[in-house]
Amino acid sequence: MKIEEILSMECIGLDLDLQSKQEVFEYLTNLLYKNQIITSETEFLEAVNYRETLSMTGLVEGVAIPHGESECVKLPKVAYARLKKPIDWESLDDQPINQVFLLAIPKDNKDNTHIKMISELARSLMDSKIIHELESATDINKIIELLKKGGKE
Amino acid sequence: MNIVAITACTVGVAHTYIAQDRLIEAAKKRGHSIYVETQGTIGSENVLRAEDIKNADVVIFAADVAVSKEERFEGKLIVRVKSEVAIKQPDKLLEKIEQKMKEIK
Repeated sequence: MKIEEILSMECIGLDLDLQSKQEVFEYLTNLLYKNQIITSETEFLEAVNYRETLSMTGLVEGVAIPHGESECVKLPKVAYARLKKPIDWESLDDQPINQVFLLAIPKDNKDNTHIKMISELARSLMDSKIIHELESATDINKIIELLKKGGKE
Repeated sequence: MNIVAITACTVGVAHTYIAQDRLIEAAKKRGHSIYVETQGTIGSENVLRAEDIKNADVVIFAADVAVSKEERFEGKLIVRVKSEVAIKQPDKLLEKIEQKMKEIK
């Protein structure tokens, strides 16, 4: 899968010193905004926080996949943050979170190809092997490589 | 058991598909036959065939939103849970259903 089409290098932050869910949301939302994926940071943050109220977005082994569906999203894209220290976050295995994939989903989902890629990426994030390889990857290129492999069925 | 299931979540991009994977994995492990239809934002995939629904002993809705075309399951035994339950404890969910089925029989 051409993971670069949904996850660009500019929307990745490694070993960030962020302390809370909100700080992570703000950081990743800003990346999406700077890269012209979304047209409004405020609107997107509202959508992400609304989704948080519905059900937990933490998966297993420190990975979370929050998402925002909003009219302010121009393209289906993913932003990724790897944190220095795990933070509190409701998750399936009750573990804190140190890797966050923020999914940006346009309101009128016509771009099924890319939505499908995002779904594939989310599925691959239940795999322990990928999770640990992502954790120990030394640079952004390696991350992209890993997710390329992971997305393949 | 023959199981058919629908998975659906609020935004319909992630949990729908993870729930599908988890249910299939757990059902296979426990020796059941399962077909899972995903109702995501891109629409329904692996749409259940009338025959599979007819042969099903139980229907699982692992859904956080209304299931579309629910009328297909009229008269069937339906178990309704949140997608999170299917993702978090698919084994336990199936175990409970197995027990219930025994009681009914």
